[in-house]
Amino acid sequence: MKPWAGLSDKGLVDSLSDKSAATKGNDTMILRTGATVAAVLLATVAFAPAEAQIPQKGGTLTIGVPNGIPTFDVMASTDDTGRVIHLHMYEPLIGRNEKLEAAPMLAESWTVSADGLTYTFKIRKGVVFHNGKVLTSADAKASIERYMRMSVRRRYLEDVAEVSAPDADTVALKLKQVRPLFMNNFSQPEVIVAMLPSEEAAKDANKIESIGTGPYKLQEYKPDSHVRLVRHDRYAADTRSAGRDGYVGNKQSHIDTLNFRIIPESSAMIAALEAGEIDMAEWVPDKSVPTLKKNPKLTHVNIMPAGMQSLSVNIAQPPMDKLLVRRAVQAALDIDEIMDAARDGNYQLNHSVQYPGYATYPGDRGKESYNKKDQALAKKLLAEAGYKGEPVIIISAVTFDWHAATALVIAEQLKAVGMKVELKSMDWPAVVALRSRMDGWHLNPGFFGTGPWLGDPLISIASLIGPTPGNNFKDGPLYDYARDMENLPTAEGRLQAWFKAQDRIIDQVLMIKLGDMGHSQMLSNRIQGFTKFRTARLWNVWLQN
Amino acid sequence: MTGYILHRLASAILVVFLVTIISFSVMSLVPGDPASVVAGANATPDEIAAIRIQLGLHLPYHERLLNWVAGLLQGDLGRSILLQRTVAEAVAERLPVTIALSIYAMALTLVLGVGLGVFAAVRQNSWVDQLCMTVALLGVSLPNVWLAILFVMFFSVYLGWFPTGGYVPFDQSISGALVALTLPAIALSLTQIGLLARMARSSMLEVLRQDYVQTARAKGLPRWSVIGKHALKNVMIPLVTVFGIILSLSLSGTVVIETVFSLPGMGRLIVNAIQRRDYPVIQGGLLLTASALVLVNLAVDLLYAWLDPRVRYAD
Repeated sequence: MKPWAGLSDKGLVDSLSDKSAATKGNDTMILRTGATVAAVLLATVAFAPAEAQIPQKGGTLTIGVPNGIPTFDVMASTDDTGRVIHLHMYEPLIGRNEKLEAAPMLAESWTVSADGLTYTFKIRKGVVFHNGKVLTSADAKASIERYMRMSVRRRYLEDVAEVSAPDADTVALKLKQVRPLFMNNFSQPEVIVAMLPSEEAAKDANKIESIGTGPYKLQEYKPDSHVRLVRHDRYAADTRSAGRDGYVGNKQSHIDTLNFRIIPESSAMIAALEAGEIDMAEWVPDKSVPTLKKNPKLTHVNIMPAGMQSLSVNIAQPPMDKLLVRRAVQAALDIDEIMDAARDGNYQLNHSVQYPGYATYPGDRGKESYNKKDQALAKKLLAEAGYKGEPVIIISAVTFDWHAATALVIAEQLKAVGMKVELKSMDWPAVVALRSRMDGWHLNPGFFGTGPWLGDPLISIASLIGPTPGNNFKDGPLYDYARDMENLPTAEGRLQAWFKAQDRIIDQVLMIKLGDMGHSQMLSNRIQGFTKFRTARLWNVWLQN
Repeated sequence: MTGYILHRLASAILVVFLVTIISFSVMSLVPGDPASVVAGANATPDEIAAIRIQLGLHLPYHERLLNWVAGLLQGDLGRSILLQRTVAEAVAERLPVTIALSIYAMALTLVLGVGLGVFAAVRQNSWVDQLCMTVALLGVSLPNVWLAILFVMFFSVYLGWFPTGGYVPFDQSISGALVALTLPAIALSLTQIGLLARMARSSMLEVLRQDYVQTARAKGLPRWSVIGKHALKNVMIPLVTVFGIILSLSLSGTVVIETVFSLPGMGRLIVNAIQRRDYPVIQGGLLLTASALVLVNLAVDLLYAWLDPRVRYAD
């Protein structure tokens, strides 16, 4: 099922034999921009023609990562670095393929009942956990129930009424009501519905041992130093696929050891890369890329787009409660200037919270209010709003330099149209604490990555439609559109609801989309078989001696 | 003397206890908590609120404080929220790194700092004196984070003599550990070498003008015997005071150096815990750091008595 996005109607899932008629019947999304999607995804996967070469087994691949991970509980966090590591250790029943469609991973197949309420998954035989235990439906049931009980993203499964295990190889999920997007949620790689041994799944958040079914298993974790994964020798590769396919497919762990070295200082990361101590930097600052590109032993990989920069607006706090003031802010912004400061040139302009080329991209719809950089209009709107110089507080996290730079430039642009701006910089936990309050802030730059990349607009606007919206304002029409996006029976109906939701967000300035950001990685030329994706995949990759 | 030591230890316990209570209270006032870190940057307000409850962060201040003190009285420093281990285990992992780095840096500081200072004093107003004091001034003036990055670029990337960062445990390879710690130790000690060299020079100049030194010289003792045996011991008394301060500075300096060289030491443990609001680690780390500093001060006071027979502490 591909209710939002996809390359074509003939994806990998369709080529697998056990797909039910009921599932196929729902695949009705009109792909208006298929050719562009193909171009985008081809650009995404075209790096390194090494698949044709003969892989070499062995060695240690050292990857520099800019920060440690907050938890090894795969269900407990949305952390980006954590996701990179966890996706090598854990697997779900259903994952996403290269085209971002739901596709079987640990499941052999799935079917949907005629009433659309029961999803039944057959578990692939011979899947073994890192501790040697064979995966059964009891483990699957316990894992799904744990996700529903404690996961940070348990809302994805909030419509599951019951999980059952009719036999040792089958697990079934009965929904409270028909949910067209259920498989989207069940297969998302953001916080995966990982399969854990049932005895671990019984444990509370952050109390589990790191035991998954993935191609690599945890050997050692030294906080602030490294995370070392070693090959899972009894890994049951999915031989139905010819090779790697998104986060599913035939995963081969050619490399013995993956050593994630935690290097918080960017100059130290670059030095380690140039000295050959690490084979890959998961992230390098964009300003260092021109110099690093001169090194013939290194290859630059730019993931564009990797995420979005946006501006949260606190509508509960005057003067942002006035629509005209919000529109004045929207009119004043020079997005090129902001994004250039945030990302040293590695950005693209985009008014939507979906990416160009995706089926959910609204084209030029809504573009008229974007990047206007019209100071005269902003001043006029402020005058109409009766703005009397009330202070506008921008809070930003110095923990992330792109947020700090974004806030700084926005502050200057708003001052230029006559607004009284206070810029408050603090660390990330303090920003989160402050922005959860109704007062004390007006604007806050933010970043979101995986949701937009998945092509799921519901994830992209999640912070505006939850029980506690991030802008402190429950906009009735937006909540109605969001319900339609989730529940309308046809893909076209859901798509149109999404377009209306975006119109509403832009018209009422419920948040301000700034731009799309790239993400630069550097790789040693020793690394073969690597293809770029939203997060680094180090299976089916090997080292050239 | 025993009574004096016991008295100091008793007051040290009170100081350490107060430090932990104050730091616990201050951290409770600082906005933000570890729920936002565990949840990740993409989490919604509702998801963060749910994690806050999972972690017990919704409990009132006094309840959390009582839990912390009750655990402490039973010798339990608690469990880190973010490190998947107890605070005691986290500290036990990190302490060897910081101790090794500090000992290495302090050894360099003592040998080079005192050496440069004494050498400069003995050759007062010569080019040797000028050179030693220029080196000392550079050490004091240049920020060690800048020097650290410069060292990495030159000695690690350009010459390839040392690793750019990372820690090798001594039980794995003694030579590997020493090589890995050399650049961090030099970067950490340069400021301290500068301070100690300037202090050693002025102390030595003062001592060299004393009557007993003139007498020793008049008796015909060799020059280096006069300096090494008679003058140096008296120079050490003010230097011990400075050394205590330098050791404190060195401990705080490890934070920057450990970050630049990716060393998993106590400095990074505490700073990361503060940035991510890992309360049990902050409490445990500060408790141990405060204890270490109190003990260093006590040791310095006791060294006075050993170095200078005129100093006696009443029981």
